[in-house]
Amino acid sequence: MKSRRKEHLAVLLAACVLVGYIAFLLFANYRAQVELRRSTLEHLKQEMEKRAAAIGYFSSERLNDLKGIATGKELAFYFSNKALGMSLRYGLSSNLNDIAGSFDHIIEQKRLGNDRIYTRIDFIGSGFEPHVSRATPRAPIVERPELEELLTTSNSGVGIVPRPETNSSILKFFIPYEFKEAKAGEIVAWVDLETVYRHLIQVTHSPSKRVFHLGYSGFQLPLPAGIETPVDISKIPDPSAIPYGEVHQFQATDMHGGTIDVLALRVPVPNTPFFVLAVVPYSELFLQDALWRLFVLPGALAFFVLAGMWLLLRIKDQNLILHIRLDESTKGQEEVALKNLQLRKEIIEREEAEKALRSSEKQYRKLYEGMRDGFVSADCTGVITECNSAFREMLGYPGEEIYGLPYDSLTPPAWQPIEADIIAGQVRVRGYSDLYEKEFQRKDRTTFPAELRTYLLTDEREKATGTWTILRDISDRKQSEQELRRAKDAAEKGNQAKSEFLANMSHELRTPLHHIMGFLELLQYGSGGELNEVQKTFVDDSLQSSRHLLDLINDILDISKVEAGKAELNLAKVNLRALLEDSMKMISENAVKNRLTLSTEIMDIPDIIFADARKLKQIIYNLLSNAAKFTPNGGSICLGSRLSAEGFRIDPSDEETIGLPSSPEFRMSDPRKGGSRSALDPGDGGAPQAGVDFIEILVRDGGIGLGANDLERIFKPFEQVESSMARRYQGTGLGLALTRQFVGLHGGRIWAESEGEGKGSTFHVLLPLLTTE
Amino acid sequence: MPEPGVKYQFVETTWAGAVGDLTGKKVIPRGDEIEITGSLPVKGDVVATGFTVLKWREKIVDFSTPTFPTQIWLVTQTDSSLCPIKPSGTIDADIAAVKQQLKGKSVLGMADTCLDPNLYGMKEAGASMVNFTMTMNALVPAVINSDADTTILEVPDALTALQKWPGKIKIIGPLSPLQYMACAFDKNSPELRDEFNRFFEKCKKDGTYLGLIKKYYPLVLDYYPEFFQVSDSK
Repeated sequence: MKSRRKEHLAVLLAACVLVGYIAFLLFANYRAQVELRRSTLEHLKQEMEKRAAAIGYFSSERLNDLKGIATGKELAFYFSNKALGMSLRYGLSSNLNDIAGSFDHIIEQKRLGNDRIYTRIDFIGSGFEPHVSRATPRAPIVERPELEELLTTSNSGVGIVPRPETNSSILKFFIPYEFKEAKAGEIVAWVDLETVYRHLIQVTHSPSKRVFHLGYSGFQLPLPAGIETPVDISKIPDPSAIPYGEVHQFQATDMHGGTIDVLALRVPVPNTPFFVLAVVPYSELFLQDALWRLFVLPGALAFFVLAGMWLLLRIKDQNLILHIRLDESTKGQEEVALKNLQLRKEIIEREEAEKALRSSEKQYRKLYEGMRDGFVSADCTGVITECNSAFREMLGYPGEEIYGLPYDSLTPPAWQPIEADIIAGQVRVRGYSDLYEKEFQRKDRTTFPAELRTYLLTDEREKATGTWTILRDISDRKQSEQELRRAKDAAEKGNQAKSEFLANMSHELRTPLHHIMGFLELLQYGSGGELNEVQKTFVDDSLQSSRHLLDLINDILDISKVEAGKAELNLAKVNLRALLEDSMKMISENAVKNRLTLSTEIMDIPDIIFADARKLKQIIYNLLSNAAKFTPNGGSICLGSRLSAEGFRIDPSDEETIGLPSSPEFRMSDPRKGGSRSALDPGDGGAPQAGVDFIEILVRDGGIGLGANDLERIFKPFEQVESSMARRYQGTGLGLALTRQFVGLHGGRIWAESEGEGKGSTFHVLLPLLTTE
Repeated sequence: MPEPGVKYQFVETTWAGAVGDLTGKKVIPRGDEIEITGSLPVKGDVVATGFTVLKWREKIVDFSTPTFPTQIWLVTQTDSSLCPIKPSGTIDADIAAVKQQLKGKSVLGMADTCLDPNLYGMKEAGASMVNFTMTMNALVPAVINSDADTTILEVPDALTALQKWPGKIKIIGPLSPLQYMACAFDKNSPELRDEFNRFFEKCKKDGTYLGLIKKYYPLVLDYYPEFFQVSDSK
């Protein structure tokens, strides 16, 4: 329908355009016709003026010819000789012959086309006697009276001598001749009007019916023979009544007696008494009789065209309607068939979906019923609507009786508010709860612990419709936890007992040992008398063994304390630089004995730091003594310290908060591993821990070096490098383990680096720099 | 032009020596008579020019049928005191009227020719004769230059002179009656003359002769129409 409307609009628009175009064409045609008429009239006028000008020029030339004759020598000689008295009989006639000769020359020479202009030239004496007369065979016969009249009625110029008897006219041109300022005669030339007409007036050979007349004194002259006029010229109005230059329309009688419309136009011939009169049939000049008829035919044509268009459009519309109805009918059938097809397809899809659903449901049902964990769902009122067999089994409800029970009836009263809080604070807020624990109450009123998570049930509009819960009976785990707690308590008790034992034993062990060492030192100093060599050796060995035993007992006691959590960190101001230097002195004796080169590389470090002085000293001493122990004679040991603003990374498993007495808590940053280092190595270029500097202490030696497997192992208690080496190098095997514990107490880290056996080692200690604020 | 069957050869001569060259005789005209004073070589058979038929010439030669009319007119320059006569209608009266004005006037002529003033009674009229020895064409310029008061010319020459020197000369009037020109033959050549006459007659009949006249001397047709027997058909 829309397309039809568009089509109608298009046709209407086309019709409007067509009508408008036709109107435009009509108007343009009318304008063109008007212009054409004006132009035609103008052209006619110009044509007539051209003819009139030609006739005027012709007339002027004729007079000029006569003037030429008048100024010629022939007439002058004649009259001169005549004035001398010469007679025609004796000599004067020769002058006349000369004059005649000049006339003959002019008659012969002056032509229009091939036609001689002049038919006759006369020289008339003052007494109207013709002195010389030269004429052609077509020359008119002019009687003397006619000449007299001609020459007395006008002085000079142009005239016409009508010859009604022959229906012809003759143009006459004449001028007076003066000899010695006295009129001596007239020169008269005669021109056949037909020649002028043929050459100057009616010159065209076109089939045009327009006729030009030459008029004189208000009446037109008869047309020369051979020139036909479509109009009975005698019946047209007096030409003198037609003003010059104006087109005059009148009705005239044609040669068949009928009436026709003609147009007449009159223009004067300059310098002559003539005029040119054009008589043209109206139909020849203007194609249409009347301009209004311009509109009739095209208007009728436009009307028929529009009517035809309207009829065609109407027929087309009806055809279109029929087609549309047919199309609609066909489309309807197709739609029905399509819908049937779609319906069948939907039915098949639905059946398949139902089948898949059934299969899926069966599978999920199997899973649901087979899962070990319990599943229960309740509606908004808290009534149980669904649960699996595991849940029923857990709660001791074997049948369907559990359905419809309030969920809360399965919860001991003490747990109901707790669970209610969780439902309100977590499930209803975010749709699910954290994993939480509660107790369920069985049918037999017994309870069991469960770990569960509850979810919010919603419909398609996200409105809560209930909850569903997955739970697990954790009775076994609880029991295990309980047993574990008991074991832990027992272990702790045992540990405590051990610590007490160790503490007691340390006193019991160290007291007699101190006695033994004291007496041995007295003997060594000679307090019991001079000792011989063997005795000295026995005393030295005993003393050394006693010291070793003491170190071992101290180390064991220290480690025990640390493991028992009883080691304390006594932070105080420590002069680190002095501490480092003292530490070097402690091994200087051994270094000298083994020809070891000692050096320090202490960078710009603060003088005072906060640390446990004893433990820090022990850390440094352990490292230096190990270095001295494992560096062969002639080697070198370097003690270094520097300030480091870079943080270090540790294994995430070490991430824990260490509480230090009277010290700010601090946390270690994230780890990064790499290179031949222990797992606790700091990384290169780690992100600085905001606000914390570190002090690094390193001990580099040129000793036996460490293999990759030893870098971490040596920090475990009673672990030493290769058993064979251990037998050569004495030690408790607890030094590095204890050093690590002490570094850990400070919140720092310790690691070892080595390029391999025999290539020395470097031990790094990184401690957080604790400063006063 | 019909051929008479002769071969033409131009022989130059003079007006005074033409008779002698034709006849072989040295002739001295004495009025209407002649005196033969010697012999001359004959140079030609025909004097084929406008030879005026004069009585003394008729004594020694035979003339053909007249070929051209002529007359002697008195010509003078325009400023001359002589006045052209009014034609009286008779030739004698006109001649007398001309001679009346000649007393004491000089007349330039050419002796022993048709322009010899003695032939026309100039002496008796009281005019003095001046013999012109140059060509006939120089007569008018001599009169214009006032070498003489007047001169005499044959009509064709006078008409030609009027055209040649317009406004400088005037015709006073006739001094002779109508004369004729013809071709001259030796008296011993009558057949030749007769043959010529026949030839000339044929030319006149077929219009050849008239055509020549119209071409070269149209004016003479106006003056002597009866001679040519033509009507004024223009």
